[in-house]
Amino acid sequence: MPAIDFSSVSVDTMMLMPVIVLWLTAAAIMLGNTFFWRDKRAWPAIISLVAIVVSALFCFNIRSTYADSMTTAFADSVKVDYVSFMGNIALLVTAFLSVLVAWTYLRNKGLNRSDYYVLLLLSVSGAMLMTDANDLIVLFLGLEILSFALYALVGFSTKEARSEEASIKYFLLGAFASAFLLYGISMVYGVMQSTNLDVIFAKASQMHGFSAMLLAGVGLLLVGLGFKAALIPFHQWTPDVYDGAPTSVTAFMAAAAKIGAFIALLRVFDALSPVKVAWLPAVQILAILSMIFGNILAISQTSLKRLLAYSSIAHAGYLMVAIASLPVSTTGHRLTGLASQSAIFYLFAYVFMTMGAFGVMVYLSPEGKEFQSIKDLKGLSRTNPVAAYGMMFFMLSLGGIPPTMGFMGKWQIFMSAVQNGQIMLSIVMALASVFAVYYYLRVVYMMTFEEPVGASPKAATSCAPVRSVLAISAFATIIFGLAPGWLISLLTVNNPAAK
Amino acid sequence: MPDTIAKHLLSWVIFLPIIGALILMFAFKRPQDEEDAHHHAIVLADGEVAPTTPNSANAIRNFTLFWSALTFALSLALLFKFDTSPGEKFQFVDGPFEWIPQFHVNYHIGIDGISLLLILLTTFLTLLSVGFSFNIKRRVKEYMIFLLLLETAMTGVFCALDLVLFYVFWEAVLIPMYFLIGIWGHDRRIFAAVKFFLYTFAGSVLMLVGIVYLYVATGSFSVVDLVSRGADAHQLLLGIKPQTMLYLFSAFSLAFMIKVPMFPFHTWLPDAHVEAPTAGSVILAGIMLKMGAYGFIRFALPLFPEQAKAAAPLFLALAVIGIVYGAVVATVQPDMKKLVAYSSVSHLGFVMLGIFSFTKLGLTGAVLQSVNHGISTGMLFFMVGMMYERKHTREISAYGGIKRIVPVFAAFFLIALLSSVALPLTNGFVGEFTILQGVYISPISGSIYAGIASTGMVLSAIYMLWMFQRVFTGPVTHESNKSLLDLTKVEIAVLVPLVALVFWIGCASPYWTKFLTAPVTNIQNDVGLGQMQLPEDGDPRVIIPKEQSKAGKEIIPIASN
Repeated sequence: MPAIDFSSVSVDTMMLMPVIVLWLTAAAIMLGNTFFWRDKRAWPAIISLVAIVVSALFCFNIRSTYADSMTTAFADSVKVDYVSFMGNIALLVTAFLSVLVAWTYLRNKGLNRSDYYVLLLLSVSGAMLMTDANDLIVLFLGLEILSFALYALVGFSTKEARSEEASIKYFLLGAFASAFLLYGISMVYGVMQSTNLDVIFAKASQMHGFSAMLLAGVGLLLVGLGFKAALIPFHQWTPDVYDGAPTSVTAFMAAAAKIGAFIALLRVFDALSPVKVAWLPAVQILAILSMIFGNILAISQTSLKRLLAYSSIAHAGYLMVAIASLPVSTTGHRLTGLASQSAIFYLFAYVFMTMGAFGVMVYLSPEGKEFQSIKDLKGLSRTNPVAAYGMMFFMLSLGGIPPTMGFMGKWQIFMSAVQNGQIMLSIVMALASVFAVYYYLRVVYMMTFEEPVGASPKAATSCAPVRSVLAISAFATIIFGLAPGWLISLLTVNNPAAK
Repeated sequence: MPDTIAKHLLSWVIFLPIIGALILMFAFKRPQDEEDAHHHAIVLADGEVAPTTPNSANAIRNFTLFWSALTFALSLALLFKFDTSPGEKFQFVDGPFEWIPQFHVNYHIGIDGISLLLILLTTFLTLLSVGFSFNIKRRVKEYMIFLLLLETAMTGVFCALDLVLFYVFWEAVLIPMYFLIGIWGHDRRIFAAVKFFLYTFAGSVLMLVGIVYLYVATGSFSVVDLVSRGADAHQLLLGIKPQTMLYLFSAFSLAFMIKVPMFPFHTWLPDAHVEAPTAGSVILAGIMLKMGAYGFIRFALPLFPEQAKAAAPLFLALAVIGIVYGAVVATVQPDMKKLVAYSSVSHLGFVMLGIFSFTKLGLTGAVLQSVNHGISTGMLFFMVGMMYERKHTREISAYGGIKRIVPVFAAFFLIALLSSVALPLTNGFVGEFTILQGVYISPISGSIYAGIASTGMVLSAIYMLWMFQRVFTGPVTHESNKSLLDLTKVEIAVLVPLVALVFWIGCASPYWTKFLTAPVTNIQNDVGLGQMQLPEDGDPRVIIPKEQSKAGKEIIPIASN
């Protein structure tokens, strides 16, 4: 990283810099749009991209300065460690790719308004706060910032009833989930006398047994976060919202909300790991339900977006396996084990796979027309082999077939599960991924085995940005599938507890 | 040979095809299909190159042929430089190089005589398949790319000494084969491709869990460390509870049993073989089924010797059921390709029988029979494919008496068939006879299994010769068959090397079995049967050297059950 001296800046300010950059940019785009370009040019997208890169540079700077010492900031309410660093980077990568996807998509749909980028940046900043949170209240704030921007984004296509409906549905159910989360936080506070995760951890370590109050509180937390993470049985909104939202929003939401929710889950359940007996059964049940039913429900889908929605539920189930594998930590160095490592690696894999898959959908939606059904893919490898084989890679990666990143992620989750005694879950996960392969292969054979019928999907106009998304995602899916070492090392460098 | 190539010879053999595939991908234009005129109307995506002349298709074919010949030549270098002296374990070892250092995953490859023969079979059959596939008219470029990718993945399976590396190659094989069946296959190709993929994938995911469990318990993915006595990983492996070891053995075995395939996991095989294009069937039967047998020999047996020995009766029983069942079902097939496919179930039963006899003869025969089956069944699939091209049907009843019309064809077909039936002087005889001998003398299997299995040989004569009779002899039954063409020069060129091998292995097997002496002894030692003294187990060519018997003393005694 360029050696800019930030030593005079306090840790509090420094910690917030990645987020502040995004907030300031969002404000600048709003003002700039009012006075200068008025939705006519590509400026908002370009400015957003620059802001995301600057924010990422700050993250790297924070990592090299503070991450080893596991610093906290803002009176212990924000934590600086590898998890927050990697979470932020994953979110910024998501945001970067989402901006590129939106650039093409919005223009082709005639939705080119700069407030899209404003909302996107704000939403990412909320998720970033969630990954940094060392306090349940900060976590809740982050979640709300993420969610409110997402509600607006889902309804962004104001001309379409579907989009509006999805937005309302997401908002209403999301509000309920937030209430559950808040109620859960208050119950945990009631037992622990603090919302700070470090304090909660310390209190939990001294507990013998657990009270019904704590159990109820943790359960409600699980409902609130499980909603965001799209776990069965809190998944009802997922297919409708994924389907109704503009495709570029679906792509962003699928990745960003998942990262935020799962890193929050990691932090909360790690702090509660001394009372693992209390929450383990619930987590296991959610994991099994999501893996099995997510995959089974996906099989019968005909719309690609709905298919990816159900598949995202299944992926949330796989990630829950990593949560269930969190070790009962006894030290202050927390979230350094294989479970959190594998979960974060998987989240990275998920970002590239989903952004790639949705990117192909945007790429194949020419002006004014939207690509919807799997059948539209028929014969794609004849008409557009690059898109088809790109999609094939993303599907194989989602299915967890080597040599792709998805396989490496799944393999690491297996490792963490077996290492921490969750062998049953790893077997269920293995069998569930067989169902998954069936529907991913269906997409692949539609593209490659079938001959094109009628007007085959053509590439979108002005598709350079989305093409670069496909290139980046495909490249990452293959490279990190073949050589995951570098990415894993980012999670483990100077990390004493890591293997 | 340049130094860098000689130093990493094995890696070059593995990855040369993938380099060829990349060259094809980027340096060659997508040619227009030659036969399907209606595809001219396809609107190409933006910026896509306009359809080019058939010449570019020929360039792709010639390049792929050249490239696979190059790979084959390089693999021959392995054969010539191979050291057959006893006691040798792995040769041409490359690595271990750190691949994923955090989890101690290494790029570590090496071969013994068993791998060597299977690699040669792979490169050889791929070369012939490419030669045969010159008649592919649709989507030539993709086809050739998939063939080359498949070659890399299959060769990798036979070389990997690291469990994760092995698993990656093992699964990577599925992808190109899925496309070969699905795009260039026959009517029910989509069903067959999906079934093939899911069936094998379902088997192998549990193996992945098993691999991970092994690592968590022992801290190593290296199969060399895990089986070599004295290594830490091996000690830890011995420390795993027997019950758990049984689960692990089951997880590995299930993956391999499906791949072989053993009865009752064989149902994917007829579908995949029948629907695949000819080259796909050849590679499926010729090489991919051997991956399952190889998995047992390289992984399941040495890693879990006690469990393997305990489960031997089950495997032997399934193997003989497979032999008889495959043969009986083959007899009644009206479709030639399906007949050959079921005959594979029967022949692979012999291979499994040889492996689970745990004798030197049985294991040697099993490997040799794996190669033989690749040659004879490969040849049969090629010839059925040639027939299909002429008449677009594989129904036995659509032919009849065509020996008069296509005498050369009939002669070649008879050779392939007799090799499959295991007639003395052909390769099939050497393999199956050695297996039966090994099974007969083994205290684990014994004469009953040998007796039942030998009925399989009789049945194979029945279904093969009956098919030959119905197709080739007697009067010509269909007027339209009178215009059938005999073999072309290209087709003869594909078949002659196979015929040469049929007789080479059949008449001079010591040249080939000498590669198997050392590895078979090693496997016996790993399984803990090295000291098993069998008076009859005296293949005169298999001499236990002094070093070997000395090493044998260090063997930790394992209670035999």
